[in-house]
Amino acid sequence: MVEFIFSHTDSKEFLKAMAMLLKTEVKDDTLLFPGNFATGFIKAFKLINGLQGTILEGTLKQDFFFQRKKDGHNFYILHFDQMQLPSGLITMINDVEIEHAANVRSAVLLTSSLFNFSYFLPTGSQTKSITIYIDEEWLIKYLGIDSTHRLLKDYLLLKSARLNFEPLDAEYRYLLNEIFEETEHPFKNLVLENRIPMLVELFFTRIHDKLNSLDKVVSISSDEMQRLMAAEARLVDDATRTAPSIKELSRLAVMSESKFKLLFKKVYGNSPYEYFQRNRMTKGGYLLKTKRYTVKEVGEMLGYSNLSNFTIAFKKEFGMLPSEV
Amino acid sequence: MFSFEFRFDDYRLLLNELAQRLNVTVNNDTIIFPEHLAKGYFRLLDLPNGLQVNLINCTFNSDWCMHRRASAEQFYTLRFDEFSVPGSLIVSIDHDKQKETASARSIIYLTSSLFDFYYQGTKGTSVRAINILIKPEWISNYLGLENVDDLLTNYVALKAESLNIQTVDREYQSMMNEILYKDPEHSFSNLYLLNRLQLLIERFFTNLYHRSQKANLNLRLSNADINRLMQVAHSLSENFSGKPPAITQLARMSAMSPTKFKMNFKSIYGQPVYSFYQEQRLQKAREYLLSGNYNVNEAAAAVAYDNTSNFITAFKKQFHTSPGELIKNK
Repeated sequence: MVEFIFSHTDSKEFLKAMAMLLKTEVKDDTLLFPGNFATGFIKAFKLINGLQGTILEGTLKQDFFFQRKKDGHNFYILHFDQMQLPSGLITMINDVEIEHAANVRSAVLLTSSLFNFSYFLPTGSQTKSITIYIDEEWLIKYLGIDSTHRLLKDYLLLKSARLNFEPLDAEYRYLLNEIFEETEHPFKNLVLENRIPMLVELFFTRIHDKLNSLDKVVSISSDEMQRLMAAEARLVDDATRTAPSIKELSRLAVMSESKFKLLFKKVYGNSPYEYFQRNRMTKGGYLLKTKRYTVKEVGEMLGYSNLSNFTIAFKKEFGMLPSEV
Repeated sequence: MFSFEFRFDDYRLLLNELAQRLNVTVNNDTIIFPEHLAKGYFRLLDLPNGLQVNLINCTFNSDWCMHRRASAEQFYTLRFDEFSVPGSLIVSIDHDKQKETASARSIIYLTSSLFDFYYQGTKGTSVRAINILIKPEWISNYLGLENVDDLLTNYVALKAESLNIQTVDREYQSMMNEILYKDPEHSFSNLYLLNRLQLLIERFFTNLYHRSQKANLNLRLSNADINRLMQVAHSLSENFSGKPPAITQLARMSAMSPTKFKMNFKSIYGQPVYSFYQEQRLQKAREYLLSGNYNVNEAAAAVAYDNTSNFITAFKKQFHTSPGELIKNK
């Protein structure tokens, strides 16, 4: 097992320490995992606006245990994780254990350096993660809030997974894909410079809205939340096929169909089918924007055998024709 | 005529100077224009990442002139300008003058501080503008280019609005609106503005890049060619009272063969001749409608639509709103 205990507030230092532990080197701010530990890479970034962090994509060949030691600074870490795990995942925040029974986790989580934070990833875990380091000065400058702000306090004090873990929905996923799917962008830095702060904005806007309507939140257990995430992952894993049936999804979520539909809508804001379709159209819009495919090709990639159905669906979603993108 | 001349690479100095000149105070980095000059505001956004931006949203009540003197230090201004000009507007970049009358000018372009730049407009001009001040180091870090000057110098050297203009399409328009009409109560406003501005910059430079990749063939165009094409484009956006001129006639104006004319026009303006004409025509109709002096039928007739419902259909296609709604929501 690889055990990595750290308290870095500088992403490049973090990467160096990790390279030492894995007995390898950092090149161009990127660490390629040695084959016996994992396949894939971890990369550090620092943006002009002061945000920094890491991007990780890989499959683990050994068990990994990560622990961030608390220290006295007010410093925040925003985690965007898309993980597939052979068994459950255990996350600990300040010695409170949050267990994920499900083997898929797509979630956003904010942690503070005032708390210990650790998680255990078993061999075989596949992960795509972005970690963003945010210091207090940045919060004040860009968000106009400091560590005593109610928003942060309330959020960090919530100790239940259903509230701490913000599910990754199509909007987050769209931004994350732009970072992970290395399309040929003429300006290599620009994608990170723009998408990372957009992820931060999206997260804070969401928790701001969520905390303001806390009393309206449906009661849902953290276990149910995780099972919903598993169903959601199935729903978006392949936009080229027809949508999985509610029956199949509710079985994955281990709940009745009517309960599944109800909870899904509360958590993700759309019915499962609307959600599927929105995700599919977002993907279509994204493919069209790359200018590498024709409308017809994109329609086919999304599993439309009839192009005009695609055009109509696209127009319904975005208010414009695919050809106008 | 109100005339203001400046030479600053710092928009805060510019704001203060303008306030002094107008004899008004700056509040929240905003100047409200005195009524005799204009109705509206001039606002500075000074973002912590080093970007400075001017937002202008006003209608002039007097003739006006803004003149930026050339400076020795190189920096750039990325301008998103939407002007509606009932009278006339003179735009001059490095003494390369262009005069427009009774038009709408919705364009995006980059100017360099190495050149003189000025706008001179008549009373009644309305302006919605976002000007972003960009230092070369910032942009080269941001784009991840070792030497951004190569890309930009080539671009800016074409002082005339030839290769470099981009039109304000629907997407730019909605991005501009998100910035200009931001809800003051919006939480996290610095981050919100930063993200929107960076998206504008991203879109501009990405378009510019794609265009410059495709534009190799036009680089062979002489300045005289470009100027003639601009004149053609100008004449196409001047008169909508009858049928548009035939390609052969336009080609003759540009001193090119019809095939060459069509190809060059498209690579400079990014769309075929008649689709450009149609866009300008509807843009014009939109200005008529916004002026408040035309109803839908009159606006349609003014841009030579015999059939109002054809006009409405075309208008919706372009602006995603019907002429009637536009008037209602004005």
